[in-house]
Amino acid sequence: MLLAEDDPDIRLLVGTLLRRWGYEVMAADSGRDALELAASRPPTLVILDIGMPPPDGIEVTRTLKADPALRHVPVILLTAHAGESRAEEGLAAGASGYLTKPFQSQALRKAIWSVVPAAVPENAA
Amino acid sequence: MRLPFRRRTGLQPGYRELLERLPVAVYVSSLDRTSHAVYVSPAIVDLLGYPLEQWRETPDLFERAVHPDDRERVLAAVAESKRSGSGYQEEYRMLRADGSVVWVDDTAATVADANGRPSYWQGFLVDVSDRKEAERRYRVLVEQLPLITYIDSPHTAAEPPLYLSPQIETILGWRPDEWLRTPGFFLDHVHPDDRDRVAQAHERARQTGEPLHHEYRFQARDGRTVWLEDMLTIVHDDSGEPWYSQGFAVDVTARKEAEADRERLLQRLQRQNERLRELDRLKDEFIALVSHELRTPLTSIRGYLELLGDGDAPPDEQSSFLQVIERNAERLQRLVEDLLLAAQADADSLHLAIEDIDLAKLAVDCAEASAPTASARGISLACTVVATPTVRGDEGRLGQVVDNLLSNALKFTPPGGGVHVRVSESAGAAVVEVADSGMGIPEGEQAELFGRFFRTKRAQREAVAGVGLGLSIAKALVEAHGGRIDFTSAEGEGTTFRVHLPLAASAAAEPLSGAA
Repeated sequence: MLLAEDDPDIRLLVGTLLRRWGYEVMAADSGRDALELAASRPPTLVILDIGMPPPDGIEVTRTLKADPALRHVPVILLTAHAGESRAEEGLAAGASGYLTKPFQSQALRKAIWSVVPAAVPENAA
Repeated sequence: MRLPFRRRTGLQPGYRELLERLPVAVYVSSLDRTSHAVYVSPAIVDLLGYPLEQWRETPDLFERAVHPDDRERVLAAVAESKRSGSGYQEEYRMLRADGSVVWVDDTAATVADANGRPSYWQGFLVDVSDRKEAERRYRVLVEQLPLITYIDSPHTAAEPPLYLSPQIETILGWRPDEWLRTPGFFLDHVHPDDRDRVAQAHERARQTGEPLHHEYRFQARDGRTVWLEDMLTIVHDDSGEPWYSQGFAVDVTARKEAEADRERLLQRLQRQNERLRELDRLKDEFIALVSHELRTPLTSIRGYLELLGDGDAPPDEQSSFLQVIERNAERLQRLVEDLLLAAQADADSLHLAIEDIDLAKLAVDCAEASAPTASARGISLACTVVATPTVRGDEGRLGQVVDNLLSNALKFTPPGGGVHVRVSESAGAAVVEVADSGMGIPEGEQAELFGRFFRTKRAQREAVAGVGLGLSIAKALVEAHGGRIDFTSAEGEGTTFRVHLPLAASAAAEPLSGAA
């Protein structure tokens, strides 16, 4: 599963949670790196911060959804913006859901389950 | 000795009865003996009150009966008639036997003798007092209205008007007579910017016969510009031809000025509205930005606390989690403090604890505190002390200034770049310089750089953390210390900020401004 987040502390936090839940994580700190990683190894799920160095999470979502090889991969967005307009924009771009920061780990877990219900952790313990 | 009626009047005797029943005073008088009536019909007795005999017996009764104010004019008309041999028609006042005044219309024709030479007048006097009185009443009414009334020939604009009411002197300063004797006076004194429009409007009214209602500026005698509202009507005769035009003009300067004031006020309100909308937009942007900057550290704090709470983490991981929480709590606190400081700077209520400060030591301390961030970002950080000036100031606040400049320098300098802090003295001031080899500030954005919540387009695009408070706070703090802050920047090469602060000695002589 691919995680892109520019704040190093949050990147480590979400990465730690995902690993604890048994997922294998590829981490990126910008939209550009995220797209490169996604192309090199198509993930099961992508978690994108909206506000990161360009291309931002919404643009990355659009690019993924325009790629025939990757358009089936569900996207969950993370946002620290006030209001929901950016998140709505992300949903319109094809994201499956979003979480507003700060969020509890359970909320992230439920969001993941709701889009990849059948997903078996890649290296489930 | 009296001549018979026929000889005296040149009329058949049969007409006498008719003449004497007419309600007008008929007279016959000789051109040779001007003032002596040859014949006067009895109606003159009703008209003027003198007995018939008196007319026959008093040669200068006519002259004496003409009102003294009109006498000169009447005698001149009579003399002219005598000279030219043609008749005359005059309206004038006469004094009755009882001393009262009567207005008469005196119409006379000359009659020629057998040789074809004009030898006497046949004329009649009609009492026109009622009409004159009505005219006088209208005139008094017209001339006491607070407006200029005029009567004009409908045919040409250049001709002076036929009548101008005397209010023109109160309203415009011009006397009716100087106006009436000067052709083109009206248009010559219309404001140059309105002249063509007014001339065209008059021309159109003359051609179409339609009434005209317009406003224009007119030059008063003392040079003032007076706004006139002018309503003109073309009066047609019974056959429908334009006869004359008449109208009135009102001084509407006060209204026009009020309108202009209102217009100016309206524009100011519109500008204020635009400014308020702009502030509203800035407020929305600010809320979005602050929300982002608050939520990000909160996410880490809550998230890592949750991880710690699980108790699953090994001890070394626990202590690094605590460090992350500490770091993010600090970040949150800094933002809250910056916001409060900005609000205080706005309210001009920055509180400074003033003491002597070793500026070099302060700069070195700040640089050392930033060293971990610099090395984490792969940026070399150096500090040079050229002089060790002492300044008067608030240590915490001045440290914040240097911290803000350093934090910006590290944020906007790519890995591999360098940041250099330098303390010196120049032109009697202490100078702290923070130079970076970063992206530089585009010229177009330099003017706004110290603006509250201002962030460069590039910082926004690249999602660089921050709310755009650091520099505005640094500027407010430096100025509260009686100093100033400036910078030089070249895009792609880097930026150098310089803080100039008064030296302690000179600062003592000159109290710090804004140090409340």
